[in-house]
Amino acid sequence: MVRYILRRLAQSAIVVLLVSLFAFSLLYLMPGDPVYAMMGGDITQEQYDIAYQQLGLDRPVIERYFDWIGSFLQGDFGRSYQNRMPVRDMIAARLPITLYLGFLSILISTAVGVIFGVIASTRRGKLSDAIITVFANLGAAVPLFWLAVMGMYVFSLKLGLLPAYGFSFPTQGLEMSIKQCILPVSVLSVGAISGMTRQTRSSMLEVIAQDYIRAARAKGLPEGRVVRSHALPNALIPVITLVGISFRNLVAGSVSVEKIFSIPGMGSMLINAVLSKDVAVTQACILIIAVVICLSNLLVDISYAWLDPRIRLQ
Amino acid sequence: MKRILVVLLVLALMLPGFGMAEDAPKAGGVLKIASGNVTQIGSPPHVATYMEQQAVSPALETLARYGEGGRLVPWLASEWTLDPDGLEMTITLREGVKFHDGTAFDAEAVKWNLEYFKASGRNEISAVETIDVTDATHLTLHMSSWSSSIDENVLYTAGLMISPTFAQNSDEDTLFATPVGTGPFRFVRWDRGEKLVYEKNDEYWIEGKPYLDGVEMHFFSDANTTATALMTGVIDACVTGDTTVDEIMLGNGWTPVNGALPTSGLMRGVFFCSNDPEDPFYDIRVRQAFCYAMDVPTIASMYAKSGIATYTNQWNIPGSWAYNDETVGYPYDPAKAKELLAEAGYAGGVEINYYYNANSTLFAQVGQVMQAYAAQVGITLNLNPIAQALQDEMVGLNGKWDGIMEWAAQGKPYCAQLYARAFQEGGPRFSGSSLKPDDVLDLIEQGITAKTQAESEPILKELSRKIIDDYCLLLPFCVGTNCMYASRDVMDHHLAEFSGSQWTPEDCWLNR
Repeated sequence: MVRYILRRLAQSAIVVLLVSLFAFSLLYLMPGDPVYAMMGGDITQEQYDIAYQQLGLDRPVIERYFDWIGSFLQGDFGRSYQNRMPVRDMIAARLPITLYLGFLSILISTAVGVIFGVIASTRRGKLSDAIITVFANLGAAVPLFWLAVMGMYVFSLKLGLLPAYGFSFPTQGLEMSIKQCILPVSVLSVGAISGMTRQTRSSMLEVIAQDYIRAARAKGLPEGRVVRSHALPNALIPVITLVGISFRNLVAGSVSVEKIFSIPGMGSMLINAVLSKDVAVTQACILIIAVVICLSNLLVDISYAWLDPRIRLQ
Repeated sequence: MKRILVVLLVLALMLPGFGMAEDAPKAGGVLKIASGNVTQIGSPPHVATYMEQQAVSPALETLARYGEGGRLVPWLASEWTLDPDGLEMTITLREGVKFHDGTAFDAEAVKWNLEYFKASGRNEISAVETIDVTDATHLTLHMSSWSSSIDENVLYTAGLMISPTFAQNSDEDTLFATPVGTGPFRFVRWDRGEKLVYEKNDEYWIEGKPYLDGVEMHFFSDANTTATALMTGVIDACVTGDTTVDEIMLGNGWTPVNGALPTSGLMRGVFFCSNDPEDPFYDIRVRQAFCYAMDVPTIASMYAKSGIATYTNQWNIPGSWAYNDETVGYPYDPAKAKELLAEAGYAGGVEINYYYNANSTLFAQVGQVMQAYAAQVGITLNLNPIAQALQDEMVGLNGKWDGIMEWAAQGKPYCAQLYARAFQEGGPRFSGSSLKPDDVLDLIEQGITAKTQAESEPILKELSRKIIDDYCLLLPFCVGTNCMYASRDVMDHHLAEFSGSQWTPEDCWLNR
């Protein structure tokens, strides 16, 4: 197990290194001058030259790469040219917001998705199964941005029940925090609930057909206990993969949801940085997302081995 | 008898000017304004966009402001005199004004601010050679050369005042993020990408003002969110200038609080690549053919659906003193367009590129309309949406493009300096692909150095006409300004009433 973890860590490090090379080089190959992106087009030659030096664009690319990767490993993510502040401070301000919304979304989507999946699988062929399946498929098909705009239109503009934008933590006012989180968390959760529901239903159907479930029923166990104690734990293994996949959205956030609800999170920061060619912010965000994805994949694999003894023995 | 008296009294109260007085300004409340994002707020030379200027207006004030007719009126400067022959400008400052950090607003502070502006690389006051401080409220600027717009450049463009004491004792990051001025509101905090918060300045130099307890600028990146926030009353006013917001608000029956300005606006049109012998537009006949092929008033009306837009056939404001009514332009004439193309050797057709900002659906729609008009005369117009950064690179210093480029630029009567930026060698905007005729450059130089409006008027009119009729260097569509919206209970804001970037936070109040 330890050797497995170490091997996976080494693989992850290689992946992150390749991503860093890709992120670093991509931005300098894209069209558009970073000096103009930072300062706008209306600048004199003198201003251009000053900015060019400040951005380090007069140094060789290799030198800039190793400086950058070395600083990154020490926790220095560079300076945002647009906002004139350390990228680390920007991430520190926005990451908690994205993590908070992301975790809420994962919790809700996992709980609701599993419950719906179990209901659908245990009532297969019945009306409740049909309704859940239809809504699960709808949830997977509907674009997030459309859902966000429709939610804002109905609940904010027409009904006046929820605020159209903004974010605050519960410590800044519980009632307003809850109201502000309802729409974005709901929108973020819809897609994940659909996926969880369908996966859980599929896994449960597979497990319920197994002999040991038949044996449990034959022993006279209540159906609820059969589902809870015998079927569900085995059906959840694939679901854990989905939860692990959801973690990668934790850090990237949902760009469209954050943009539409004007939530100052990582996703909106990344898209603004890409559009304005704020090189340092873009590079830092891509690398952080890559690290989180690699770690989350590793955790999923480890949890797989922990949950399923067959995998551990293999 | 009593009844008759009561009736008479009621009738009297209904007479105009008698009885109920208009609402007097009410103190209290926090004004919330939706704005586009700003990236820095504390250093005046770097406050570049009109949104940033509006965002810092609660805290920072200028030496002069725009008033009726677009004329400069005293503000922090109580008066000024111009001596074109002596190349001097003397400014008298208002007394009793303090910065938010308690330091005095005086002639030394103004001198520091103007020198700081010049040292930043901005060239609007590059002709100011030396500044002499006579006493606490008087200073004299000595110029190396004269410009007819020097008062505007010194008193407004470079006239945003910050505390030199605060600036000199702060690092650059703090300075860029903290506006410390003389304004009716003090800076509280800036949650980047979220909001900018100001609180009332109880020691403001105008007694009894401001009326509001605070001002908040809220930054939105989505048009639907902005419009919803305004329509639900969460936000009191909107100055984003987002055309999608305009479409939503106008479509929901809202009317902008501002109108077309007689003294400035945002020009829209297309700019030709006219200096490349390999480009079809090197031939003036091809440029003119393109112009004749376009029904420009119809194209201009497209801009009016999502903003304020007035058709114009030249790079100036219709109705302004520098607008040349004798400019013929190129009225819609597809037959004439075909004739000119044939003369230029393109009877079989020609293919050209059109570059425009990919962020705007309006520009894409305009491109499609132009494509259709062009096709009628044998011009194949390839639409090329490009990112803002790439567009800035192509039209900026040393930048080039082929075909035509979507054009947006400031328009104002004193246009010589604006033309210089586009047509002089090394100009920062659009000059890389533009022809630079000697007579145009001469007129630009004359326009810049003209001493008075009377002297500059015939020069600028001839310049406006020549660029269009004689050389056809660009095709203007319209001039306009971004729409601004406010709830009915927001009073005396004067948003963009006299200038696109100006409003009156000290006068503003909420009628609630």
